[in-house]
Amino acid sequence: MKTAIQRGWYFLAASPPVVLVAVFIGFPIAVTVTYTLGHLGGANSAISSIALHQVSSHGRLATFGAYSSVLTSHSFLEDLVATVWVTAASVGLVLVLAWLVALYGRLADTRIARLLTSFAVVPLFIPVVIGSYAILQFWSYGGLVKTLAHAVGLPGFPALGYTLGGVVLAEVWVSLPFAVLMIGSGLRSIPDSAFDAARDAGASVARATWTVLLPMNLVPTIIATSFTGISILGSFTVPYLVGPTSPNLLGPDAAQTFQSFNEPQQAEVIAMVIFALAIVVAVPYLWATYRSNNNAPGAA
Amino acid sequence: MQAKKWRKMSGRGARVLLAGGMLGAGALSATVAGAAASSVAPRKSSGPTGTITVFSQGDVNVQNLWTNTLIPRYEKSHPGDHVKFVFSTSSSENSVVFDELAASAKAHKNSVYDIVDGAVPAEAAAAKLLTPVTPAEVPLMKEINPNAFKVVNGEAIPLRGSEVLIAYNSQAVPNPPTTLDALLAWIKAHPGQFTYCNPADGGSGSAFVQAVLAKYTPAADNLKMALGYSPKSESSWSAGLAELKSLTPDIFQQQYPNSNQGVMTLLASGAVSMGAVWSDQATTALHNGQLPKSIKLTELTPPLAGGPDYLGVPSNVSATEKALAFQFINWTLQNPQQVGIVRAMNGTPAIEFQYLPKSIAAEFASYSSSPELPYSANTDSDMNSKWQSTVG
Repeated sequence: MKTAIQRGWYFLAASPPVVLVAVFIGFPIAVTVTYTLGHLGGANSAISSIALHQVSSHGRLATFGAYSSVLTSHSFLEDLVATVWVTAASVGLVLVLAWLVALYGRLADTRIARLLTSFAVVPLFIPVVIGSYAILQFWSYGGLVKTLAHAVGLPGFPALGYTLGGVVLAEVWVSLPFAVLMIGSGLRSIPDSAFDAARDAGASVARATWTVLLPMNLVPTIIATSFTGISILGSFTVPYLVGPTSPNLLGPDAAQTFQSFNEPQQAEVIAMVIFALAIVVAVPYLWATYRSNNNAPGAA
Repeated sequence: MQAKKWRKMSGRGARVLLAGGMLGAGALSATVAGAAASSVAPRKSSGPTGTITVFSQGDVNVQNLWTNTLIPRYEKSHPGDHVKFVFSTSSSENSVVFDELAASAKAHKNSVYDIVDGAVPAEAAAAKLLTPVTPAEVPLMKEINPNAFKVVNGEAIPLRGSEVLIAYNSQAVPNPPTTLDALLAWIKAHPGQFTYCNPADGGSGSAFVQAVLAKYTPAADNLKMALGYSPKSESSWSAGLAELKSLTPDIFQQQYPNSNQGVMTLLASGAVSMGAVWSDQATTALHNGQLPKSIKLTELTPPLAGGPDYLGVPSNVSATEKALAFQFINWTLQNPQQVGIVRAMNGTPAIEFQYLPKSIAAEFASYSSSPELPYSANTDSDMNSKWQSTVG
């Protein structure tokens, strides 16, 4: 039983990061929300003095004019659809690949297996902007892939540079290491005996994986899913460099709306949409961490 | 970027406005030689001494101009003076600096920067954040074409200039089009052989888009949109936007490069035969071999947009720093510095050719005497937005 004094000390220890987040992230978010709702004065007066096409609440509590202008725009809706499917496809691919790599590392305890799991982490050490540009060059028209395909008589082979398919490819490259680390370490913590017992009872490897390893590794998988999904939803560098002019993901869309169209209010509305999507993706994560905290040794 | 439409001009990093008569027709006149010899050796200044802070943004060529040419020469010729240089290759930094100017002026505090270069001055002048320039502070402004001051309300001074030209592969295209209509017809007749960059990402793309929009817009409205913000005039853009949209199937890969440099990369690899490029960036690339010799530059009639890169002094700097800043700016307009800019980055000089050595004028003989005025910052933001939603 912890005393009140102990709890007080714990709270104090945690308070610097909490204060930091509240001041440098919480406050700007609150200001941004009021701006999207049409409050142009106060902390928003500097930005609103230079912005184009703003919607003002004229002293009323809120107006949703900026939201309706963005949410009904055809190009925004195209970008939204692109963001959702690119995120879903990338997350799905990342999970499948990360599971395959992690499973191989777990089941085949050979030098090659260990080498492969180490290689899967390499993208972590290559800056995103470098990796994206390399993928763009490699897969663009005139890149190595297209050139080789042409040489072997496949002139119709697609060039993924400047396409959403290329964005999916690059997002998988960027996201794979974290998922492999997360799912791989989860698999390694499952005792051999659980898997072996299922095998002894006559289950195939696939069946034992499906009924034993997957459920026991569910929490790390969900965490990997949420983190990968959130980072792809808000990604900028990959879609900016690799993606097409239009439709593209909401990250470059927001930046372009802010910078090139000089519409900060609309850009912040787009940011709110990304925020809302990220919350949806975060729900399973919150559930998983809550569950794993409750199941942790020593918890009530 | 924001109130501001900063375009990313890789290679020049600056928003270009108007070109007025910078490349003036009278430039090649006989008065050239005499004036040239005047301000040769920089002298020890008798003006104030101290430190000024300069912000600039652009590609490495812009950075090199400041750190290898302008600043060392200035500090050498003005002992006791120092220039603190803040530079970003990312155009998004422009918005940070612009916001800083707007916020510090609003809060009645002194600006961090004493001189701003690149995309910021045009935007800041439109927002009345800069100090008006007078001949008392910058005597050499008399050597600059007066039109160059109109678009910035007399609040900024040209440092150098460039304009958007058509680059073409002379092996593939022996007879390049010389007018906009001929170019548009050529693009449709040669699918996949032409490209221009996203206007939001590069000024060369903006100039091409603007030219097509302007074709269907009354001249008076075009002038209004160049000198200020006139949302009503934008209604006449729809015909031009439709024309641009009809070009999309014939643009290389139906994708628009996201930088000026991207167009040059496609030209260099032979993927396209023609594209819209900045004069200074393309000339430099031709000199250093990034573009093959088979690439030639040509100007349309009437020419695409172009003009000067400006320097501005924020209105909220101390009197001492203001004096220092204008002393520096006047120095950049002296003959040796202007020639240095031409040599360092193939930009056109800010002062008229009659005040420069004859050989300089000859180098720019194929350029226009009056490139089109680019649209103002806010007009350009709207143009980018409409292009993205209808064409991109």
